[in-house]
Amino acid sequence: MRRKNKAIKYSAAREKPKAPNLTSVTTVNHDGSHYILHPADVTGKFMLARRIFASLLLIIYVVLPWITINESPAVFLDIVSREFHFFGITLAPQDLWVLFFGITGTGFALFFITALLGRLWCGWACPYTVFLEHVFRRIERIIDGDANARRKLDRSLWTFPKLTRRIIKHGLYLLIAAVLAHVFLSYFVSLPRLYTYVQESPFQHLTSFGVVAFLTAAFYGCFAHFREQFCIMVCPYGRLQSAMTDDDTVIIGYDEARGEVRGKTTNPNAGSCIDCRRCVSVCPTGIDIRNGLQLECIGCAACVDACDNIMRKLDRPTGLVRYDSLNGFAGKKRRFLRPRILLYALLGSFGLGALTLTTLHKAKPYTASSSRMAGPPFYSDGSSVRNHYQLRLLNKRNQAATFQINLSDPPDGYQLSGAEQLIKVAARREITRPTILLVPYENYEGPCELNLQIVGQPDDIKINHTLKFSGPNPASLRKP
Amino acid sequence: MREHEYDGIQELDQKLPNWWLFTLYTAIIFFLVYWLAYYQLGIMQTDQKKVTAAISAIQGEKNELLLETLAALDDKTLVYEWATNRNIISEGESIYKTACIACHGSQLDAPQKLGLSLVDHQWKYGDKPMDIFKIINEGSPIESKGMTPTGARMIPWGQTYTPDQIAKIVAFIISKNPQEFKKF
Repeated sequence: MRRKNKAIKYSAAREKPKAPNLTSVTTVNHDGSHYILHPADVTGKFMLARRIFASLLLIIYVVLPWITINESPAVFLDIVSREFHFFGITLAPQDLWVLFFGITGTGFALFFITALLGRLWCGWACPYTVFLEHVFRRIERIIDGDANARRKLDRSLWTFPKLTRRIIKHGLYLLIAAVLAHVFLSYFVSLPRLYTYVQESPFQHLTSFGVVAFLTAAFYGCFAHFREQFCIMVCPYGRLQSAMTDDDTVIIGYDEARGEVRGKTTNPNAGSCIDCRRCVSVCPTGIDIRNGLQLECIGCAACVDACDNIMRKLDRPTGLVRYDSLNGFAGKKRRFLRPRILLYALLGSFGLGALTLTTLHKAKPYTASSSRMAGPPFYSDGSSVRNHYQLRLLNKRNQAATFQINLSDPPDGYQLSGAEQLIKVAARREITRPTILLVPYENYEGPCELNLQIVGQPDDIKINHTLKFSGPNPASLRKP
Repeated sequence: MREHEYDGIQELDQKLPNWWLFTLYTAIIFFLVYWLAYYQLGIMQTDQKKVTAAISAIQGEKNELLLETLAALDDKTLVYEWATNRNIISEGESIYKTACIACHGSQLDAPQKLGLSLVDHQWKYGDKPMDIFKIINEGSPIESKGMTPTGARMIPWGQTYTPDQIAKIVAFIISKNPQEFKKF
């Protein structure tokens, strides 16, 4: 008997679930080690809604590389050839400015949602939560059982059954991490190329292999071990959000006015809260929502479902823990429209609107750009003034294109040299050709802007390119 | 809770998570190793050195290619082998139409005097095919005054096109001057 007692060793911190407090992070022990959380199971309308939404996001993530639009995958960021395909539109590095509107528009849209609904992104849409809660934690639940069984298994000695369970679980984790990493890579190399890479030696594609290896390790490390530490201590977005929420932001909170003073069900003077601690046991970040809005809360609404279930069993109205604003909890009037909401909405729609308009308007399958040829900015040869340019024509398409260049509506006398014939550019190629603009002295009136019109076939795409014509003071050319 | 009171405020004494401390110390050690390897001992090449080395390698390859091409090329081969080969001439023509047509014209006669005419039986910089090759490859010589009166000079096309492609342009020019090069 003594031997058995001596053999069972477990740290005091693991005896029963740790009680959250306001002076320390639950998941960091006093000696700095990681306290592993085992959140209890939850069922409820929010949990169901989250599962459905997460399944949708997962399906999109996995299926999108398979969808082909205009001969390219729907989302294909081909860094190697510097072509970025989005749902039929191809962007070249010349279109990098589009990224500015994309990022700022998305940023402000995210701020808008946060100002309205708090950390909604974290609990519902963040890829970290989607993978952790709805893929990895599900596997753990199936293999290791519910929260109590998992805690018991953690505490127990290393027996053969425990070893087998751990190996199977972590093996599955590694496998899924690898699959997710490969799907991620396919967004950058496309599925057909991924298949060939997988069949060849890693040394032939060292960068891609390195990315996948790193991601597999990162996914495994994060979702098997690191878990909520990322949300609490690493993610910058979580930290930003306290700057974006105010008293009217809808967050998850505990109705203190209704719930206090906590007491047993038989006590008629007690508030609604019976201190069953279900909200604490289901929390994936290890807080007690009854302490108020906290740094760690990711807005997953597990505590809402947990408390609602208990309230229903007790025949009490649900909503003791619910989505509401701090003003709402204090009994004040709820406001949704306020200056910061309007400001964020305006900036967000400006960014996204500008992005859409300019992408549709400016992102064409052909691009033209120009620079002056090496030498003086203009040549004056006794009868005309000339400017020498290098014109670059880029064909982003998968097929060859032909271009016709001419000056559109030029002032009298201006002409192009060397552009009478059609210019052919092969698929996905760029050519550089000298282009000369000249004007006789009699017609020259000083530096001006000229419009070069480039018509690309097939599809009759017109590109207008402005050239600045430089020259001397016209007075110096007039014969005295 | 720490002992000291700062104006009535006391500090909590919580331990930082072990993983956080680990990444901090690892980052410091990583910095030391990286700094020594890349910048002090030169064991690894910095990006600056890598780019310089790559550019020199490319330049070296270009020079080699040029020497190789020049070794197999001379006036006779240009006139009798290259300029009689239809594929070579048409390839030369397509390069001409991209790079040369703006100044030398579509009929090679430079109607607007932006460059020298290539069909007027006058060769300012030497009338041998290899001279023509040289001037296309290296651009107008330094001592040349360029076109009159503007001083416009030809850029060294050898930096844009391979020696092979330049030989094709020369072949195309020769093919447009059927009687000119019979003496070689």
